[in-house]
Amino acid sequence: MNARNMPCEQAERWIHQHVDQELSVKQVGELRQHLDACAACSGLYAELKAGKAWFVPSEAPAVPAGFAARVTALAFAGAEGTIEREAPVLAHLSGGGSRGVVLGGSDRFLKRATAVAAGLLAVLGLALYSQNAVSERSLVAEEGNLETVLEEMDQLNQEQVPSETEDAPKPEESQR
Amino acid sequence: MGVVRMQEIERTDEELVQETLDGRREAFQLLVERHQSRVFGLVRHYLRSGAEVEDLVQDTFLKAFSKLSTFQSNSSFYTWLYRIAKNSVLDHLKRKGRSPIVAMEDPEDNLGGMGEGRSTGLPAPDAAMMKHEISAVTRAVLEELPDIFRDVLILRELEGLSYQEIAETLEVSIGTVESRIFRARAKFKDKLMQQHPEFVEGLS
Repeated sequence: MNARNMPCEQAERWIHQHVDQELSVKQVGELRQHLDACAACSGLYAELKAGKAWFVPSEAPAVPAGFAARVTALAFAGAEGTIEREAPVLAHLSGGGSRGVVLGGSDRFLKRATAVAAGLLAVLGLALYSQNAVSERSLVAEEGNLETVLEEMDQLNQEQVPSETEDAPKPEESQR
Repeated sequence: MGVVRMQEIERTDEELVQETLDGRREAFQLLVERHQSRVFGLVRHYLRSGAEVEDLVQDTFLKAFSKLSTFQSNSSFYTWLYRIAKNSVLDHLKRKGRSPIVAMEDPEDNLGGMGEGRSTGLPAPDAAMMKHEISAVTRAVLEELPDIFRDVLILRELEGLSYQEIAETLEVSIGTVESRIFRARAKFKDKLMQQHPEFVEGLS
């Protein structure tokens, strides 16, 4: 193909590929001839090349210390991932059975049951404590009331003694 | 560096995968060490929180470990790992109710051509802008792009993958990769114009 006669549509595709370094040396040569002869395509090439500056290559991200060792330990222990609650199973090491699964269905049930039992125990403990606190309060006598009660009991005793002596039958009379 | 360490570095990913399958934990740790930086970088393009990123990268490697026997060495280990990482990100975003933007049109309709008329270039960032300011603008624009266009721009422009590698990673043809890249650049410019018209003044 005569490069100078390259259709702009094809040149356009090649320009994208060129800025992405996807063209062969031969193709680059052909494209350059077209760009020399075509101001519109030449402008497009300049713009696409300049626009690359928006994409700043990622700097090497900081990886937490000991990350690889931690992940390896988790993987070989069959531990669950932190996002997905499904435990990874290395089928080829676990023999395809369910033994490699950590925190499977029954384990999750046990965890939930333990949590419910702990909650019930806490409620029961609170109830017992509050009941005990009430009974202890009822045993505490207030000083003022006690004195009043004792005085009233003394008065009653004094009042009742004479009447008992008058109404009660004498031992000799009853024996008769 | 010790001789043993040198030997470990010389081993290919495929060899390390096989050794991991044989139960050698050192082999798997070396695989993680080799690829952890790239996977961290990749996941950071999609998530903001550092804690989320670390969890997702860990999740990616644990999933890779559990599926290691399904790895086919006809593609590179990293492209295989990328697919796991990307699926982990998508699952995570869905769980969080932050579904990625999905392209409404089929980009394959325009295979082999630009599809939307003559492409236009991008203006260069303002010379006074700092590197981190440029990155912030780019990131904000990328977040607004449909997933299929954001993926190719991230892989091509930020991760530096070739068309062939992108095609393997996304499991599409090279023609589709080209088409998506061309259209993604046009979409990127449109969004940039919407968000920052001051950058695009004077351009067609």
